[in-house]
This record gives sequence, C-alpha cells and structure tokens, in this order.
Amino acid sequence: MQRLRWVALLLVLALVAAACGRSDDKSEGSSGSTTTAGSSGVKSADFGSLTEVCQDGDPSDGPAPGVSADEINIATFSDPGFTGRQGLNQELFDTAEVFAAWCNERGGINGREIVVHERDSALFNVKAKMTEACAEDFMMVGGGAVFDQDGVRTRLECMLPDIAGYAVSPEVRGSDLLVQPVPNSIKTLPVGDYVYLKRKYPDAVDHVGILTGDLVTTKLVGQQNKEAVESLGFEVVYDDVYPPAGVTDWTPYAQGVKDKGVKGLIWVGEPENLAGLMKAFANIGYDLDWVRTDANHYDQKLIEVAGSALDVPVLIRSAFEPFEDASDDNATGKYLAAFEQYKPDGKSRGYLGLQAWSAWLLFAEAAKQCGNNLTRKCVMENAQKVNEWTGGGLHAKTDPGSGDASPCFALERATPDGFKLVSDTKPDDGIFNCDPNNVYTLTGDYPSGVTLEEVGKSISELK
Amino acid sequence: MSADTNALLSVHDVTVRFGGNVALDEVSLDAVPGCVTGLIGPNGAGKTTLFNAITGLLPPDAGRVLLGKRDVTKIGPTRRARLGLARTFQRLELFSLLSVRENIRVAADIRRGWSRDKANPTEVVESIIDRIGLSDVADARVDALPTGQCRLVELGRCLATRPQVLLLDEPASGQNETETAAFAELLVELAHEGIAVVLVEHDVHLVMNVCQTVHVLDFGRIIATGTPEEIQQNEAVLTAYLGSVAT
Amino acid sequence: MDKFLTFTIVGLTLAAIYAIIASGLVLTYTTTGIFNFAHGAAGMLAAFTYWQLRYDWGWSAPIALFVVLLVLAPLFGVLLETVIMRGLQGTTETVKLVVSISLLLFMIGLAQLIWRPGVSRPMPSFFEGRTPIDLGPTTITWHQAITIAVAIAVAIGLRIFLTRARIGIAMRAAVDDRSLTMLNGARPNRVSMLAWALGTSLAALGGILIAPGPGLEAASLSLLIVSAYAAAVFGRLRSLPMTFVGAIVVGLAEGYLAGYLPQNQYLTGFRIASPAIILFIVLLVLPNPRLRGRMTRSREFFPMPTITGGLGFALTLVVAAVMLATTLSDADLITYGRVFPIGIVALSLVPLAGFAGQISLCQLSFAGIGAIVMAHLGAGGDPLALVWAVLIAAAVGAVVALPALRLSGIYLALGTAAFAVILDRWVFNLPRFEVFGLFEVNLFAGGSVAVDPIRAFGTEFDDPASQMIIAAVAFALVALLVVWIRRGRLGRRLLAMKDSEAACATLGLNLLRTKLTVFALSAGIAGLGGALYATQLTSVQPGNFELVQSLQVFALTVVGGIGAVGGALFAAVSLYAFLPLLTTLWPATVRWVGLLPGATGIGLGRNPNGAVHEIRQGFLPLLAARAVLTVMCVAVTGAYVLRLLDFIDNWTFVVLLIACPVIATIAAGLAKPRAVEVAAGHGAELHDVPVEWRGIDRPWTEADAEELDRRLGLSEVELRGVG
Repeated sequence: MQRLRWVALLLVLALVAAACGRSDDKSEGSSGSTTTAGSSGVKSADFGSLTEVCQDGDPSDGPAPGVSADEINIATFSDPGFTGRQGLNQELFDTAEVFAAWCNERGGINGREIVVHERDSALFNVKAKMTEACAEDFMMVGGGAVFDQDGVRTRLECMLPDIAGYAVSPEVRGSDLLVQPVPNSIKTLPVGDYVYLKRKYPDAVDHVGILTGDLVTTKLVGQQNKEAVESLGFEVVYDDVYPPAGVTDWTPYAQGVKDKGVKGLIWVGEPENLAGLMKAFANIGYDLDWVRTDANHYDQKLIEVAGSALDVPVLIRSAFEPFEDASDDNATGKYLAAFEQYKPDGKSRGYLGLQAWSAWLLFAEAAKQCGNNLTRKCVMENAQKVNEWTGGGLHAKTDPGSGDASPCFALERATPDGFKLVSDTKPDDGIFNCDPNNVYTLTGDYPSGVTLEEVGKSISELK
Repeated sequence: MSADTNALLSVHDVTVRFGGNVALDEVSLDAVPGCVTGLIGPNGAGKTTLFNAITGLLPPDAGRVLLGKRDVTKIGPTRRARLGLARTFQRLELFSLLSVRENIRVAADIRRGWSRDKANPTEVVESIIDRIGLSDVADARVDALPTGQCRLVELGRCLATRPQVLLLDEPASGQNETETAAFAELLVELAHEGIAVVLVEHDVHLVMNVCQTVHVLDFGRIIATGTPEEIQQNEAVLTAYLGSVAT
Repeated sequence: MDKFLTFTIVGLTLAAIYAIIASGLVLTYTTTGIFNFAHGAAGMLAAFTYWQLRYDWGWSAPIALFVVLLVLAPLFGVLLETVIMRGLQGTTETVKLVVSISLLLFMIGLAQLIWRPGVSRPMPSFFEGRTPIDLGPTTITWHQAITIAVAIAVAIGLRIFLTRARIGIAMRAAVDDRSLTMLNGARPNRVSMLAWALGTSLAALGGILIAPGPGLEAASLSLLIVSAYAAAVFGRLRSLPMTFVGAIVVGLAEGYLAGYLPQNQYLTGFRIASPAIILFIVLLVLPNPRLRGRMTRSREFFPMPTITGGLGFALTLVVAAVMLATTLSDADLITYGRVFPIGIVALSLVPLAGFAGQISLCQLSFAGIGAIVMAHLGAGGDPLALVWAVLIAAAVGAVVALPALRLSGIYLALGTAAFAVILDRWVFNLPRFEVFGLFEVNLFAGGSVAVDPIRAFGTEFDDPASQMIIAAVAFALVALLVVWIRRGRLGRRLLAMKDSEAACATLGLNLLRTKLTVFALSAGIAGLGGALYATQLTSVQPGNFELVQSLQVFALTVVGGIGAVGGALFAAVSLYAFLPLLTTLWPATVRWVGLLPGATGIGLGRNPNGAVHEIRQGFLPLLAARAVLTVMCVAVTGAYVLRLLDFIDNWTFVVLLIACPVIATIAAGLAKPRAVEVAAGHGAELHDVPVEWRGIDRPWTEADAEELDRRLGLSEVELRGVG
C-alpha cells in the first residue's frame, strides 16, 4: 500500500500546485482574449455601413451586473466541448474573440472593454453554464446552444438578456429578453424561395417531398415548412425522417423519394448527410427538379462531399451576402479581414459566424447609445427598437425588434464548382428579393416561447 | 431390474445420446429407502451423465425417471429438487464466495422459501455443520478449504433440503482415510434415517463397505447388478475394469 | 420489382460487410475466448487511418489499403492480443467484458483525439463517380459490387486457410482445447496472435468498406456494426459458415426493412433501431451454446460489509455532501451534484452484476425510464413520483428480464446493450401515443421534457445545494439497502446463483424468479437514480441516457469493485466529479479526458477486487488508529468552519479536505507498524491465500508447513513416528 500513499501525496501536491498557480479569476474557460484598449482613431471603427461601432469614452462604475468602469462581461455560449462532437460550433467562440479584439482595439464600448466569457455548454451543461453567466455576466451575445431550452428558465429568472447568435428550440426562439439579429421566428416563416420554386418549376408543385433529421427541432422545422408550402398550393406526397446519428446507405431514402414520384425535395438537416443523399440519387439514377434547404448548408463541406452529384439544382436559402463576393470594400470582406488579423486559423467561412458577428454589431450599436449609463434595460430597449438591420451590410434587411422572419431571401446553388448565386429570383434589394408576401404566418399548433411570467418575473423588474 | 414398489427413485430405460455417441443406453435402476445403492464403473462410463439425467439437468432421449410414484421426466431440476431429490457434484459446485455456514444456509433458506417446513434455518444449519464435523471451519470461505472438506460442505448443503433421495457423485475423492471412514459412517446413518442414497465412487473399499446393492456401468450400459460380493466376482465387471482377464 | 432488387442489393452489401466483420470477431473469440466488444472500433480506426493516408496525405489507394490492411491492422491486432488479451486468460467473464468495453471507449476517445471531430472528412466510396453497373431493372454501384465480391473472396479464403493451412488447422484446434494443443506441440500463443492479426484485418476491411456511407464519426461508426454481432451470434460464435449465413439473413432483413417499412412517425425509429432489434431477436430465438470453458473461479474477494461500516460510509457521505453543498458555488454544484444520482444508477449494478453476476449494459436506460416517470407524474414536485419511478422502472426491468433470463455472460451483455440501443434510437424518440385508446403515453415528447423540482415537507428543493443533499441522502440510503441485501438472505442467494446455477437448481431454487427479482430490483434502483438525476437537470432528453454512458458506468463500477457499494461511488466520482475537475484545472485536457475512462478500465479492470478495495486497505490503519482519526476529524471540521466563515477560499478548503485524510493515514501508518498477520485462525483465513497456493502466491512460512500437515490430516505423532 506504500505505492498508493505516494500516489495520494502526489495528487495532493498537484492540487496544491494547481490551486496556487491559478489566478484569482474563478470563471471557467474564460479566454480574456482582449487586447488592451489602444489609442482610438488609429483604426477605423466603421464596419460596412455602420460607423463608429466601437469608440473610446470615459466610463465610471455603474450598478449594472457584470459592468464596471473598465469592463463589460459578456457570456457567449457554444458547444465545442461536447466530447461526442468536439469543436461543434466553435465559430461562435471564434467570432466572439475576433469581435472583442477588433472592438477593444478601437476603444471598446464607450471606453469599456469587452470581456468575453466563453460558456461551453458541451450540449448537456447548458443550465450549469447559465447559472455561471447569471452570476457574472451583463448579457449574452453572439452565442447559442444546441439544447438551449435547458437554460432559458434560468436565464429569465436572473433577467439575463440575450442577443443571440442563433436560437434553436421554440422555447427560446419565442422567449422574452431575446433579440435575434436574423430572427428565427416561431410565428412566421419565410417562404419567398418557395414562391420562386413554384414559379420556376411548375411540374414539381404537386410532387413535393420533405425529409428531415429525426430531432424534435428539425422535425418541427419540417412541419412548419410543410404547413407553409401547402398553403402556397404545393402538394406534399412524401414526408419522412432520417436518423441524425448516421445512415449506412441512403439508397432506401432515395428509393422512397423515387417511389412517390417526388420532384421537389425539401431537406432539413446537415450538409454531409445531404451530400450522401445526393450521391444516392445519382447512384439509382433518379433526378429531382430541385432540392431546397436552409442557410446552414452554405458550407464547403457540401460541395466537397457531394461533388458531381450536385448536377441537379440544390438551392440554399440564404439571407447573407455571399463570401464569393467579398471584397475589401464590403462588410463581408471586412469580416474576413478581421479574422485574418485577429484569428487566422479560426473558422470564418460559415453562416453561423456571420450571424454571430451581426449579433455583436447589434449589441455594440445598442450599447453605445446608452453612454456611460450602461444597463440591461437600456441595451434591450435599444435593440428592440431596431426594425431595419443588415449587420453593416452582411445580410439582407431584417427586423430584430419585432422578431418576425425577414421577407428577404436569395438563393445559392451548390454546384460541383462552388456556390453560385441564382440570378432569376427577381431581386429588388441588392441581391435579395424582399417582397412582403414572402412571409407566411404560421397557424398550426406549435410550442411557444418561455415568458418572464412563467418564471415568476415581469419586465418591470428589468434594470 | 425388478420394479421395486418401495423405491423412492426409479430410473427406467433412460437413454442419452450426444450426437452420434450413446452416453447412456437403456439404463435402469432403483433406489430404496434405507439402502445405499452404489454405482461404479470406469471413467467415462456415464455415471455423471446419469446423475444429470436423473436430476433434470440433461433431458434424456428416451426413458423415464420416477420419484416415488411420480413421473418427473418432463419436470425441471428445481421442481425435482423440491420433490426431495438432492445431489452433489463430481466437479465441486460450491458457492465459492460464501463461507461454509453460508453455503448450507442458502440451501436451508431455499427450502424455507417454498416448503411449509417450520424449522428454524439457523438451527438446521448449525446441526448440520455439527453433523458433518466442520464446526471448526464454519466461517471459512469454502475456496480456502481442501477438497475433502468441500465435499462435506456439498453434502451438508444437500442435507439442508431434507432430501428423500440423495445422489452423491464421487464424494470421497480428495478425502484421506480417516475422513473417508467418518464419511462412510455418516452415509450409513443417513440411509438408516430413511434416505435412499445413490453413491458413485471410485473408492472400491468404501463402496463395498456401505452399499447394499451395486450397479456397474460401462460405456453407458449397466453390465452388472448385485451385492458387493457378487460384483467383485463378476467376470464382466473385471473385464471392464481390468481389460480381458486371464482366469 | 426493381425496388425489390434494389433493396436486395442493399441488403447483400450490408450482409457482405457484416460477414467480413463478424468472421473476424468469431476468429478472435474462438481462439482466445474473449468477445471483443471493441472489434468494431478497430474497424473504425482503420477507416480513419485509411482516410488519413489516402485522402489527407494523398497516397494511392492500393498502397494505402496495403498499409492499413496488411501492416497496421495486423500489428494492432497482435498488439492487442499480446498486451491486453493474453493477460485476460483465466479471468472471469465480467473482467474480460470490462476490459473489452473499456477498450472500445478508449479507441473512440483515441479516434476523437487524433482526428478532431467537427472537421469534415469526406470519404468517397470506391470508384465513386463512375456510372453504376446496369443490371437491367436495377443498378449496382461499383462500391457495392466490390464489397460483395470481397466478402465472397474472404469466405473462400478463410475456408481454404482453416482447412488446408497448418496454422489454420491449429487455429481450429485451439478452439476446442487450448492446453491440449499445447501438449501436442502447437503454440497457442502464436495461433492467437495470428488469429487476432487476421481478425483485426477483417475488421479493418469491413470498416473501410462501410465508412463511406455513414461518414467518419468515431462513436457511431464503432457501434454501427451491432448487426455484425448478430451475425456472429447466428454462427453460435463458432461456425464461420453459419456466421456468413447469419450475415446474409441479418443484412437482407435490414435492407428490406429499410425499403419496405411503412412511413409512419412511430416506425421511423424502428428502422434506425432495426440492427439492435434484429440482434435482440437473434439472441432470444437461437439456442445459445454453452459458453466456452468452465466458469472460471473468480479470485475476487468482497468482504462482507459490516453494519457499522455501512453506516459509517453513509454518514461520511452525507456529511461530505453537506460540506460541499454549503461551500461550492451554484454552478459547481450543478456540475458535481450529478455524482449522486449517477452513483445510485451505479449502485443498481452491485446487486445485479456484483452479487448475481448478471451483466447489464442498460442501466442508464432504466434511469431514463425513471426520469420520464418523474417528469410526467411528478408535475408540481410530487415526491410520490419517485416511488412511481422506482416501481415502473422495476416493472420494465422485470419485463426485459423475462426474455433475457435464458441469456448469460456475453449474450446477456449483448442483449442488454441491444435493449439500450433500441430504447435510445426508437422508443425514447417516439412522439406521444395512445395505449388502446385508454391513456396517453408521452415519453420524451419526441425531444426533451421538463422536470419540476421536488416539493416536500413544505419546501421546494429547487436550488442545486438542496438537490445535492437530497441525492446524497438517497444514495446513502440505497447504499445501506444494498449492504442489507448483501448481509441477508437475498444476497447469499444471489452470490450462490452467480457461482453455480446448476447447484442452485438442484437445491430447489427457482432461478427464474430470483433473476427476475434481482433484475427488477436493480432496474428500480436505477429508476430512482434517473428520477433524481432528472430533477437536477430540470430538463431531460434521450441523449442523457445513452448506451455509451451505460458502458462507462459499468466499466468504472467494475474497476472500482462491483461487489461493494464503494465501487459505485468510485464510478460516479470518476466520471462526474474527477473528469470535470480535471478539465476545469487544466482546460487543455478536454481533448484527452475522453481517453481516461477507457484507459482506466483497461489498466485496472483486471483487478478482481476493485480499486476501492485497495484504497480501503490503504486507509485501514487510519481507521484503527483512533487518536489520529479523531484529530483528523477535528481538522476537517476546523477547515470547514474556516471556510464557512470565509477565512479560506474554496480551493484551499478542498486541498485541506483531501490532504487531511491522506496525511492522517500516513501518520497512522508510521505510528503503528503493521502487525504481522498471524496465519492461523479463522479470521485470517478469510483474507489469506488458499492452502494450495501458499508459497506460490505468497512466500512460504514455517507456519504454512504446520498448517499443511494439519490439513492433510497428518498428526504430529504420525509424522514424527510413535514416541
């Protein structure tokens, strides 16, 4: 048993060393990746169409939680620590770091530095991390969690506002104290792309299929899309789910689609799975008229994996300016440049990063108007007043204040040679088609968001 | 093989085949209360197989097994045990994680669980431990004991179920002379108490001393039955054991 | 018709892959007696490695295939065999199982470490992009054709090898009797090495062939070949021809199910779970052969727990929980509070696997059922829901046990694992449904379901501190229950059943009822753990109760010592306290921690007594030295008071909390040198080595000689002659 004693001793010593070596800062996983507030004016704080996003100032201490004379503590949520899928949505953290560095170098928010606390919920720890954030942070910005419904009640109980990078569950999407830069509403659904498809591919109108991943969130999206397209006059003849865990062979699904004579397929899922499905279609030699999917498929993975199987139109609904058009002058180019400067190995080319950056910009805009008196109430009210927002030119016009889906859309087509913007969508605002009829109000019975009343609070308590 | 109406155990023409191999060929025997019936034969003759068939661990391909008047051929080992059949095993099947006392206690508890027997298990266990002479080592874990004592524990276990028929499979192997002698006494006692004992043994001395009837099994067939003296003279038996005998 | 042909081809392709993988599994099993749960993981690693060579480093396909299949895979197999498997000869089924499960966990962790997840690694099929071959009414892709052709080649190759080649014949001989082959001059070690080399290569081949479909993801790929296990079971784990037949049956069944299962929201999960369902059916329907080898006598030793010991343990635990609850921050409490409910789930394994020797890999599934009950029947925090959780989980446990009763050892493990997967992929994901129109069943509502905190004695236990204390108290009570069981009739009976079912049957024990009882009991305990876990999580989903977690809990409980409650605590603390603590202290380790459970299992799983036993031995001198013990308690209390008064911070407190017992133990050890254990006496016999092993397992002493004589029945008089 001697050996065991030495092991125990070593453990104790190690713990002591660790305890002594730790800094006083007890927050977990904090990456204080902030550069000191440099002299303002050296770098332009303009971003696209937004001016003076960040600037210096003369702040004093305030009563707001998480805010001091020098810093604003912000919680950004993501799930890269999930051991089953490490690096999941790492781009949210990357974007937070880059923005904080970029902004702080330009003076911060009226002179206060942004300190980002990366709250890694690793899928199942949302509640724990939310409790931490409640204790230390001023607001949540630019983050999201796959199982975000786990933390929403805790968040509302401590009145922690959220300008989200993305929101998944209906409980969160419809919750109070939440502003989304590109709203993912639970009441309305953008259908402009379906209108286009109906016009361009009339043969497919009576033969539409829906295939979603077997997760409650994706199934819900599928259901909502089904309701929307049926209201537009499409006929859904095929409706199935696939296991998100992994499919050995997509042939059965391709066959199922073929059996029902589907011509237009609505797909809700992941790029790699879609690629597998497309290859299966190629293998059984069945050609669809169109495949329609969401912005998360605006991802190089899709093209890498599917390759030549992308000869049928695979159309991705997007509200963002394409990376392909990035230049030194436009917002997208500036976004990429910021990554180049502050985090060259970060993942920048994904819609999630863009959306998070838009959230950060919205926060900065709302916060800077509060001047020295930076409170949660002030920021939220300012953010909710924003009814026209493009993230400085990163995306189409959205209405974060109302939380309704934006009518604007563009379509990217995934081809073996890369993403190509579809040009005949009748754009009326830059590359986007913003016809107000592009939004459909959902009538079905779907879960609703969590309100302050449900947790025993009220909006009047927000300070 | 006359059908003895007193027999507590009757085996009628039991046949067991393993693939093409006939392990038991129309074997019949009876066990009468008060008697110790011996079953001897060379290794591989099928003695343990016969026990397995009798206790229900191995269903026979033909034949019947009766306990008293009751045909138990189709009944599983648990129910046969509850009808009064107990056995020990050639390769010890003790509960090696338990002590001697606990081994026997398990058996007593099991009996208490299904029978209307009101006897106090603790007393039953203690008296059995006394009887088999293991009071010294009653709390020792059985896998620390030598084989001879283990055999006694198995016997003790059987006794806790108050059997009417007791099948003993090479119980004396691993015992020295003193222990074997004591064991023989015990067997005779048990028989006198009305239990029908069937004894498989290689220790010829022991068999001849305690058994009233001896069956000889060779290649799955009973080749001789009789009193110990008769068996010792029997030519077929000698041939089986010793090869051909030059008289 | 063309649809039928299409799916026949799909089924045959699957069959081909399963046949290749299963034959590798059968080879390794038959020559060494170890059922390698990690077999599929080997295939997974091979697929990753092939990807690395071929698509990341750009090697040509033939060279990459050669290196992976004929160099790396066989080497890996040989490595496994010599380093790990050989040392498992002669150990119990449970130990072998734990090591191979731990190996599975380790290999998944390894893959995730080397090839960071979340990064795209597309793996094209062979000759992808080429037009599929036209077979008339249907087509077959090149990849499918190659797969089927390879399987046929493997079948023929194996047949020739095992019947003609000398070492192949030696392999078949080793199947039957290893020691006999040694006596006959064969070298079973060499045979085993070759079998493992060959088996791993086959796994690698299967992995490379299957990977393009589902993609390179470590955990799902490793578990995807659950169907291959079904094929192996079909072949009774012995017969390769039957394995191939089984693979065809299983593959075609899966293919046709995929093609013809009606589209129905209740059946979508069925399709995904069909490999596990098929495995379950195969296990139940086919007569399972008696497992190889006699039940090896376990060298394990779990001392009978004493009442004082049990009470002491329970009390210490609750006190520690109170100390933690009053000092840790809320966020920490949420994270570390999970130790206790999961500890209860681990406790459920003690009577089931520890006492009765029934291996169950689905305890988290029963916990999930408890959680569901708590969520639905516990609305408003009704504590009665806890009782319902126990009862319903127990009922499900009994129902599951019924078909599983005829399984044992590996088959039981496979069966329970299949059950867990069926629940994971199908049942837990069902949307709400009605039972005979009478009442509605709403499991996880197809997603997640909220759980109210318990409300009892007038207060609502909704903060993490009180929840931790409740869970700790519950754990302590259940631990006492388990101790009570062990000391009583049921415990004896279970241990007896574990050792010799034959003897139990011939003693009149109703084995079925006993097994049912212990399964139900165990499931009920797991259900309680799940219910409490749910109240802590406040929102539960199927992902909280997956097979991988059951595997981790099982493996670490065995490592800790499955025959005692300490083992359960060990597992829970390792997984839910130690690992998070490690990543908190050193965030860089987050990528490495995935390896730890597996590595621990491989390294320590062999110790039949469990780590906790060793630790306890280490602390024994402390428990004996009363003075030092009292001083230590005072010191700990003092530290606690200092902490409460905020004179010291949490880290100092934790360090002190750990340092005190350790220092005290060392002090106690120094103060009283360990008394030499007297060999004679009954007490020592409980601890000591059996007579036959004296001088082999431990050094020979004079006392042993006397002991031996006594045992052999030789008296002093006889030895020394009359006089």
